[in-house]
Amino acid sequence: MYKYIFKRLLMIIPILLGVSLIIFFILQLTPGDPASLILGAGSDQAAIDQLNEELGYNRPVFVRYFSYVYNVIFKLDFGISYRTRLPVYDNIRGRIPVSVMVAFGTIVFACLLGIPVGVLSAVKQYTALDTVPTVISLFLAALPGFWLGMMMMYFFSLKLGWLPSNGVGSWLHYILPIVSLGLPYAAQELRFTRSSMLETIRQDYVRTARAKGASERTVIWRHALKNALLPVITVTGGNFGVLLGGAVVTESLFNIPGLGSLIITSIKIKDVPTVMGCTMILAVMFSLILLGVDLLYAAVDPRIKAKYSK
Amino acid sequence: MKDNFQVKRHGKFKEVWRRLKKSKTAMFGLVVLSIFILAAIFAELLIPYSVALKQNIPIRLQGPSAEHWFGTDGYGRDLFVRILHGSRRSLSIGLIATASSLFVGLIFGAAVGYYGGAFDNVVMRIMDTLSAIPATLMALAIVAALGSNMVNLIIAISIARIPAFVRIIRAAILGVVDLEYIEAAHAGGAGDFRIIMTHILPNIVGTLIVQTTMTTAQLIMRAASLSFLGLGILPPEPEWGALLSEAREFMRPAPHLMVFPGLAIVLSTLSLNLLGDGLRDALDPRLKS
Repeated sequence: MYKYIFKRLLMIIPILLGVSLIIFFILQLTPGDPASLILGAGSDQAAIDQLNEELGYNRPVFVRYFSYVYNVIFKLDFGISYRTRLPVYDNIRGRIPVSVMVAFGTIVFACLLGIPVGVLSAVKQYTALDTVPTVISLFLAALPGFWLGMMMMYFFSLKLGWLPSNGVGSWLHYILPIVSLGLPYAAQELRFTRSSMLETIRQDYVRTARAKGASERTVIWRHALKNALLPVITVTGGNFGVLLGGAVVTESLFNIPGLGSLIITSIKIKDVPTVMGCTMILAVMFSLILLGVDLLYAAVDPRIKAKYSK
Repeated sequence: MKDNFQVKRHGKFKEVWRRLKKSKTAMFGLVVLSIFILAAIFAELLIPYSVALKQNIPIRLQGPSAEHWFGTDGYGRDLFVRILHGSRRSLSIGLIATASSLFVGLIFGAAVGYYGGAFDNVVMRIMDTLSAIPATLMALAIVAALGSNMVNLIIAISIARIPAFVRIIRAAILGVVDLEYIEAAHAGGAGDFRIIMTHILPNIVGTLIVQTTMTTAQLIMRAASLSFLGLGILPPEPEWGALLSEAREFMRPAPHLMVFPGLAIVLSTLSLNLLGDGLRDALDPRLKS
């Protein structure tokens, strides 16, 4: 088991190198040089040249890439932001918990809503308790989260004045972003849970549990759900990773100071070190979450655990 | 599944169509989608593009009326016409981006699945790396680097979808490449290309069709969200996400500006999803849940 974890952790390294390489070279295609961006367009050419020299921008692109990677790995130094001229890591650090909070809240909300309703739909297949949630979930899955966010902002903040529409002052600020982001995901959880559950409740061991006289409640929620959740876990883990970086639009809509909104502003003003830093942090978190999902799998399913420990 | 795709294909498609027709939701999706596509194709004939750009300040921010079905925007432009012409961009971006990622995915997926070995390893590790970058983020970086326009937007959103297609196609090919009928085709003197095209790909046409409809829906949404952020199609060009971005400014005085473009996105993605669901059930009734 430990050997497997170690192997997986090692595999993250080339992936991170690949991610940094891809993003670094995409960003190199961006027109303009950093000093002009920092000093503004109309500044003195000599000052621009000098600053570019200081930032090491005049070295060949490969040298810059390798020195970037070297600094990140051996000094945990993500460079200096072109905008704030402070170390990138200082800018990012405070934003990580905010983004994790939004992503985690969204996933919890989606699971708490989607999984129980999904189980219910499967158990009561073809009744109103099945068709109504299924139809609603079809609509929700087709909704862009940011549009849902705009509509909810209009009703709950502007019209009714119940909830704040931007910033992160209190937990109330998280409600609209989490619900608007989470509803489409809840729909997805519901659909996965439902179809997985439908398959599971027709299996022999579930019939055995019933035959042994276990109550319907025990059979569904203890015996069947445990197995039915396996595919749901994969989807949820993947979603969590996607949400960490993918809440970009919602973060910018609700003015949430997370990684996503930082990436947007940094991309627009071509603050390459900040974009790189955010991307690397996100890729690390994403890879760790995927590993976590696989380990969770092993914890839930002894068959998989046996395979890993070989 | 392998066998029933090998029987006469003509009869197969007729059978699928017969089953698809029975699903009301799939038919609803097909009808709505067709209306959208026809509207996009004939938009210029219905109402010229110049109308979508014509400003008329005195009638700005009006609600829906008989004259302006969906009301007017901040410059007094007719929102219905803007959505109509926006459909050309939004739908073609979704379709072209899906087709390009499918095409690239097909080439690489088929090649690595068929030849395997070191090539397979290298390509799959590259795909793993691509999937570790959040799709929205990668698209943002590409559009920022290349510039905001339709072609770059399409490139940006297609790249992130390639790994998924490569994996599906590779898996499908690995599943059949060692079977006897492929060996028989080899023995019969068929070349690699011919074997892939005529003996392997027909097996996964069903999966691919379903994936394609669902992907198109996703990419329409992703393109809209990029334009919404100001990194895609830029105003005054009408695109559904760009329309929503303009609507943000007038949320309080003119909420209709965000309702209608949003509904356009929802209806088109919903119809694609319904059609995809219906097709999956029709192509393989055993998967029906």
